[in-house]
Amino acid sequence: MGVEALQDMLGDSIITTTLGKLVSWGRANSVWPAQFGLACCAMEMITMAGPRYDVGRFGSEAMRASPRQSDLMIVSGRVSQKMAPVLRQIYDQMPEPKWVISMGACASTGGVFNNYALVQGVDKIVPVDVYVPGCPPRPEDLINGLMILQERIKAQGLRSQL
Amino acid sequence: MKTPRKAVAKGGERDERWIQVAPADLPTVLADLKQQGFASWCFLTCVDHLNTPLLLQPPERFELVYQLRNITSRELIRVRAYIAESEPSAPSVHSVYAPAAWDEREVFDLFGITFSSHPDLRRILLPPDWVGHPLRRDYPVGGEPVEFSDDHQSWQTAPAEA
Repeated sequence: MGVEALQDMLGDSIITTTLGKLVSWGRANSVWPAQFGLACCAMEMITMAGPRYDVGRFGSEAMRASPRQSDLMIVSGRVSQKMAPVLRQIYDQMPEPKWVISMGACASTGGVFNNYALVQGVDKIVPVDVYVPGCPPRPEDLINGLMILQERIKAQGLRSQL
Repeated sequence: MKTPRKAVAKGGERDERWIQVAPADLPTVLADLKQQGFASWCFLTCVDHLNTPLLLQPPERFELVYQLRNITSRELIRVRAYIAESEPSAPSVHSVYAPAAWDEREVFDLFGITFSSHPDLRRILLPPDWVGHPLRRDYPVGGEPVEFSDDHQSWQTAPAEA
């Protein structure tokens, strides 16, 4: 059977792609965040999931209460030295592939709290994929960070790391 | 309010008064005040007077502050007791006011003041293996030195070993 005969038979009912593109397309459009908030940035994260900003448009509305079901960790706020081992444990419990968004000034650098009590940037304890600046970032900023992450996931293909 | 006999000084005005007592008299004075109707425990905190630029130099370095409220008359009473730096210890009042036990743990955690006869004097906010008491004024601020800032030469990042 020739190619033209195949095209006649199948018509528009089939597309060809690579497995990596297909898998990463699925991953990028169903990024489920772990459901926990650390500080005031969590309010903006909650707003992002609410009806006004509706992150469900991008497939990330399913906040999972168990790290076993999550793909994305949004570090929404300052991380204290006492919270740091807990945060790392949540990250370790998430199955691969997994991504981290550092939300706001405190999570990214320690913010204005340059003192003994806080981790000066969450990238000291977990690898961060996208930093969202702001104090706190508006929900649009966080959605923008999520869309940047989606682009990177699509480029990731079947590799386990970005 | 009837001023307890053991008060060594008193002040304030209208319904916001304070009395000063010797640390050893704290349990009896607080029991007396509770008898008089100051049954609501507001808080216990501590002040470190190291290098305090006060006109009236405080007699000792540490000052314990007990705040009580009379629910029916709406009066506030503040009980102050000065603690020497050489022996930072005071009697526990958890047998008079049960919630004092946690406030005393907090003062112990952050100021290093021990409370005799306390049932469970552990750190409450900081990790159990923490060194030092951060709200003492001679404790280094911590954090990370900020490059090109005025104080980056003199920044202390590590707490002094206990």
